[in-house]
Amino acid sequence: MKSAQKISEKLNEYSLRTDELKIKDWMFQVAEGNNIQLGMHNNSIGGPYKSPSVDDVFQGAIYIQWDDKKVSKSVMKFEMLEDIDKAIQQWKTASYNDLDTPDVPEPKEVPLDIKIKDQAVVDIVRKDSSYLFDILNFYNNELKDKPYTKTISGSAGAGQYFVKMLSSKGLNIEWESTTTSTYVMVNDSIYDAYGKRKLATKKDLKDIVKEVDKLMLQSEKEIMLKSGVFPVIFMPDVLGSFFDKYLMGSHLNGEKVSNNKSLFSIDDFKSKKKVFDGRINLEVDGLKDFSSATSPCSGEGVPANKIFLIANGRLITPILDLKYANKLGMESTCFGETDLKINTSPYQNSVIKNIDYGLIVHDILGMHTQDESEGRYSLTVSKGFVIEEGKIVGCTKGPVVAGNFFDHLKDKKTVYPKYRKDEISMKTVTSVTV
Amino acid sequence: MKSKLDKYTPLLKDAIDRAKQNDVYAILRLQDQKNLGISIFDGNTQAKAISPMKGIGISVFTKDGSCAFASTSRLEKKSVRDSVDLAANLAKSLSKYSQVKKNKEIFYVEPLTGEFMQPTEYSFDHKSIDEIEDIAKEFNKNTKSLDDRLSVNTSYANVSETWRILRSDGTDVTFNMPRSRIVSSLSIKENNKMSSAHFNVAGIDLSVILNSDKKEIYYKKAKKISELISQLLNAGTIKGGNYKCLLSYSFAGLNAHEAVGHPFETDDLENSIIGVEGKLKKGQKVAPSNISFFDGPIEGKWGNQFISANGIERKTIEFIKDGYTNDAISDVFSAKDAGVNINGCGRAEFFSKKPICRMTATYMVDKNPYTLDKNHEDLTLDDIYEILVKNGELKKGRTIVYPVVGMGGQVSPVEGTFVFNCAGIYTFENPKKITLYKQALFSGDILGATATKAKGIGPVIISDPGVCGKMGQGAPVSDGGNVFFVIDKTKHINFGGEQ
Repeated sequence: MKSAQKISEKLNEYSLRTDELKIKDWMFQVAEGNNIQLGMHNNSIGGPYKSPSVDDVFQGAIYIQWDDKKVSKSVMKFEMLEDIDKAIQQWKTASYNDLDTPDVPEPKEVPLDIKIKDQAVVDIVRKDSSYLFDILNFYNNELKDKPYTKTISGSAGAGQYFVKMLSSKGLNIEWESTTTSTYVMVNDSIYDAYGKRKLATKKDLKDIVKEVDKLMLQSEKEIMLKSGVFPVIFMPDVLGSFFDKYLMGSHLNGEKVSNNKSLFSIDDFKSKKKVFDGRINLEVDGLKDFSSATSPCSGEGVPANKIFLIANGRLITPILDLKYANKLGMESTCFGETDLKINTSPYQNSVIKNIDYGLIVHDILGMHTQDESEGRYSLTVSKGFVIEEGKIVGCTKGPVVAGNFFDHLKDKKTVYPKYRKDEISMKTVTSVTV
Repeated sequence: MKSKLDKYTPLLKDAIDRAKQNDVYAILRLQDQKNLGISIFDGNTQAKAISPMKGIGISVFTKDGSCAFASTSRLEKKSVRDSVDLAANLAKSLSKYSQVKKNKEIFYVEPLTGEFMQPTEYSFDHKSIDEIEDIAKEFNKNTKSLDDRLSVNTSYANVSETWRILRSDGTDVTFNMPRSRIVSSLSIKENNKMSSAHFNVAGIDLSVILNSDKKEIYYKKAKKISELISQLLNAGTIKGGNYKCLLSYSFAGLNAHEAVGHPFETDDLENSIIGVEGKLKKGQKVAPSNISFFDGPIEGKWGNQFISANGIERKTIEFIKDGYTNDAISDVFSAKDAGVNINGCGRAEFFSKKPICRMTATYMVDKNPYTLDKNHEDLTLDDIYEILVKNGELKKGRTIVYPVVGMGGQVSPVEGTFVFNCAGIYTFENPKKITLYKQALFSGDILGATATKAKGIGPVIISDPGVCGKMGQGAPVSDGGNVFFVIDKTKHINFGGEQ
């Protein structure tokens, strides 16, 4: 990648200077590539809002330690390549004192052999994008004649990227990756999606359609829900958004732990304090084949790996970049897909059979508005399914579910049913107001 | 005055010529953005950067209305030409598919030329980034000094953004969208309890952190929020249910944007609760007769945009007029289908995004409100109680709930449901009793809630800046309304949620 070479040569020149622009160490990552996307809205492919698009992508991030001990962290844009001297001067202008930021790390061995590139995706981006049209046509053909269908919307996309990382300490790695994603939504209401570094197979697409069809059939009858305190199942996507909001983005975030903005202190992690039920394991898997979140290393050169943030209900580590790892005296953590791991889970269908009256929460409104401070939540269910005598009898919209997410994770009675392949939902008892 | 984007004229003209050679109509969107960001946590700098960004987005249309899009940040003749070619080939390739959406509306609009630059009091470079860092640290330090238990994160962002839109019909228009905002997030952790809230002050330039009137507003808000989160540590939880409520201009604005405005956007009117077979049914009674809703550009406000991303002048519209549906938030591509005028509401966050229908400043208005004889920033809870009693809104034995400090909202225009959240909620009871409760969501159905009897208090205030995230694109927006609205108790609005 010529651009990376050009930048590193210029940074090395500045390392030899003797004035205020002298650079002590540097590290950067640049990604270049192309992305193609096709959309469908209300049964029609394309149109002004969903027209097929081709994007020429250049993005990067740089970290510089100056000789005067100040640091700079910045994004890199293509235009900076036009005048790298000017860019370096701008970075120097925006440098600041940050005593917690460690030195640029020595290079570590990075797993460059992990599976993150699919040649079929490359071919779509470089040669023939007609498979994306085929995906949308497939959705249309499979769903257009269903009795419930009014509108079908969706998208299909593919991308190919070349990434290079370099540092003054000798890091010099590069890799090629691909991304692909697709979704379909019927009546602007029920949807299913796929997103990986590997192209969706015909079976994957059939599974998406099958899931949408099942949920649409369950939605045909609208049921008036009763208020009360009763069993509620949070579907995997909803449960994932709880983990993102209440743990990953807040109480397990290294910056928040360090800044006393988390309920958990660093001593809680060092002492492996038990905070949830012993069944709860939260794993970051950076080595998963073709996961969208898999990459050989983080933007700071931390190699991909598998780690537990929570194991057997005990705190193991917050999510730590180099700065907060250094500040808190712990190891920095890798990137990757975050999975809730429960050793023994019943299948969701068998759990539903044992519920006399309950609610399945399929979609919610307002997660981003919640105050995660103490785990309390109060959310509107935009799409839910009502359970009566062990069966799903219809759908509902608008009830408010309220409770405390941390209490659910502590509760031994909470059940974590399996849904489809690796997905896990949560069955708990909480307040529902209609 | 010469625009800084003038130097790209040869590149842009070449791209228009290239589109012509490809036999397609083109809209070019050149964006030039400079973003200064500083973050201070308890006196220490956490981030400090100036990030420039430039690029061009290209929408092309074949004669039969098939369209495609390409973007590049490489502002060189070859890259831009390649992008035009890619988009043109993609648009032409659509002709073999039967269910492709065609749209020729851009061919029929009048061309527009000129510069629509919003003047600022201070230039982007009026202060060095080091000076701005010191000022942000001062705000952070003074805020933290309000309560020694406080952790304070102060972020300041100043954005200089200019767009130039060219079309194949000769349109060549340049406009800017400067914006500036200081946000402080306050939290207290004590005895395993935590409480937090944030507030902001916004505008279009450095005046947000330099001018005394803006500083005064900042510190009044800081004091209120600091006291609020301290009290919230030991506050109880409000019982879920329906209440008569008092909404500040901040929540009225959030309601105007989220619950009422989004369903009026014409790019998805086919699925909106307001649309009837994809059209706006004008003259439908949806709100009390004293209530109107507006949307449009307001000079000097955060998120103001005079020109659409398709090069069309943006209009101010009264989309609900005296309680009746009247107009819609429309752009060139969907106005005709919706049965309304083209109101120039197409916006794109970045050059690499396709424009969609968006709001800018949206507000709810009672044209004949109760009068208010005090500045709204200086009102105490006791003042508010007296206003409610004096105007006969809080009678003996009754309760009014008053949510404070908005934490955002979300709406489903298809299902017709909305949800807002607040950092805390007060109850006013007569005989006089004022109680604070913890964060409480309020939600309901859009049509029922909008139709509920509402009475405004005081003048219209538009100052609540936010970022709307429709379809993954962040657009800076403002909203507001009369200082307060009293909304009758209704089954269509639920507060709290715990049984």
